[in-house]
Amino acid sequence: MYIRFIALFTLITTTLLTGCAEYVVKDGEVEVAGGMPIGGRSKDAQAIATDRRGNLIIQPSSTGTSQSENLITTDPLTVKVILFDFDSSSIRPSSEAVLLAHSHHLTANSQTQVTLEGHADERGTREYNLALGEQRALAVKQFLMDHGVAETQLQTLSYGEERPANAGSNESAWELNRRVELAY
Amino acid sequence: MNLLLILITSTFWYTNVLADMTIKIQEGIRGAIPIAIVPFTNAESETVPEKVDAIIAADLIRSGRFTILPEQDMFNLPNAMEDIDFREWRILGQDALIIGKALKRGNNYKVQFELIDILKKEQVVAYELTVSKASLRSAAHTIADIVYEKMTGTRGAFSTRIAYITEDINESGTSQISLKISDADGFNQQTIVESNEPLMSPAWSPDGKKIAYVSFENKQQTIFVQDLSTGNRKQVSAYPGINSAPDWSPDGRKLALVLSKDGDPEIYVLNIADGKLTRITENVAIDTEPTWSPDEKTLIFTSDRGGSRQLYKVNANGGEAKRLTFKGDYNAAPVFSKDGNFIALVTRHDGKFKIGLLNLARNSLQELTTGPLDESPSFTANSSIIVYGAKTLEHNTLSAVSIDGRVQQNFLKFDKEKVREPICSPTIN
Repeated sequence: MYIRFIALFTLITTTLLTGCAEYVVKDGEVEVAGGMPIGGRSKDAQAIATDRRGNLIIQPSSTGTSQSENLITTDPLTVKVILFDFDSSSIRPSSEAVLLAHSHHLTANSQTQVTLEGHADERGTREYNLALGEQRALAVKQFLMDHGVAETQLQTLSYGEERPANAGSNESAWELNRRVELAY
Repeated sequence: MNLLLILITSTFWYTNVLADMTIKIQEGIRGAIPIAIVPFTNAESETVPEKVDAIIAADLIRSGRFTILPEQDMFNLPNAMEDIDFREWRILGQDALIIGKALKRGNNYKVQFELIDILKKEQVVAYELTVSKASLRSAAHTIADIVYEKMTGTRGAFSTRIAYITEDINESGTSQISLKISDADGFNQQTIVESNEPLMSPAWSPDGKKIAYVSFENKQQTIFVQDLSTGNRKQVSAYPGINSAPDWSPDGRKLALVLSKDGDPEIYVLNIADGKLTRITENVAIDTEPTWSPDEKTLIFTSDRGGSRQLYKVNANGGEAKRLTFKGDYNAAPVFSKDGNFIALVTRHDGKFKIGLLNLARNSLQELTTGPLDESPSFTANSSIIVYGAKTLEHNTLSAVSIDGRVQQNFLKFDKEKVREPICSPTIN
């Protein structure tokens, strides 16, 4: 479910967003293309998308015109699962948009705490998977801290392979189980 | 999330819950000893609640060292030495014969048995045990231990126990995870601790009286040491990050374990009495799954410092680690045999995770199982069998394989619950 959701964003182009405040992220820097600073809008739902060049566009939904029929405007903060490749703790480029939205939310709400729960699929030994789950949680933690979130807001806990999201023993289940869950 | 945590002492026993035995003989057992066990019947047999002879037979079969003559092939069923016609047992190709009786005596039971050498026509050993009803099964295991030792020269491990983790997901989707103990044959199951959060990595103390394990009940990995007779437990490690993979030192005073409090998973040795920690490894890679050598001088562990997961060996006081395995691109979860001759491990071949055996003298690695998701190997007390967790599409079972790989058995399987992480107890005197 989450995979499909994230993939859809990459198809949205900037042309759908004309007339709105745009925040374009390039090389990790947020450029304000118009409208209010991101922090000031953090309590509002935000539309989020990347253009064809992979640049991230974050659009406050309260500006009205964003509710275009052609625009998918799911709140990225509702996405609380970040998926990983097999045996990897590298954050996928496709996950960065969602994590940026969380970093904005957390920087704007400095009292908010989140636990980053790292998980692994069932292949490999349990103890090693505990370590892999921690590496994934720490990778997400580092990303959020790199985008301004205070370390005191972030806890990590690795469950290894002990808490699969999908109990199946196949590639589609494993894909969903290699993850970090953001537990607010 | 609700936390359900029940500590149950040894007075709470379940009996006869399980034991779904399937034994797969990989090939004809060369050198297996043919033995006949005459049913322990007598005029009073209906008053004995356990089939003592059947329990002995199951134990001996499971070891892979014996073949048992089916009862229907026997000409006669003698109960005493003077009733034995040695020629008929020789014709049947038997090396040895067990005869015996189980009799009710007041509130207790008297179990007598004799082990007889067919070729020499003499008694090898004879015992009489008086036990309570609850101890009838353990009396049978004791007899199997005696027979095993007399016939093979190696101590039996049938009277030992096994610990493992079970998980049951109820109708509302909540999982209940339990650390349980049973006899080595899966009977007499007892719950040690239950939680709605994961429990992991049970490790039996060398005296068999305590179990260390990892619990997530405080939303943090915490290592506890629990006394099995009282149910009392002590928190021994709850540092930030990973607290995992406890393994007792052979003297029972220390735990090797894994902590990530300093940034990444490293091997430490914890002195249980005073809580003092000694850091053993120092490497940015993942170091985990430590196991002590029986002489307490060395720790073997898994590390991906060389790119793939392999076993490394380090002095138990620390120092430079040396790579131990080179065959294949995945060798992990080492566990030393009690005699120090072998290391059981998980090895990956063609994408399948299998139990492997590293022969330290020959420096050879042999695959004992076929996978696909075998894990958590543990040697029985006499190092003759490796018990492990096996995942299939339908079930998670506990399985066992003899160290020569010839006898394989699924011995613990539940209909609903998942079962994993078996660990064999030491010999408990």
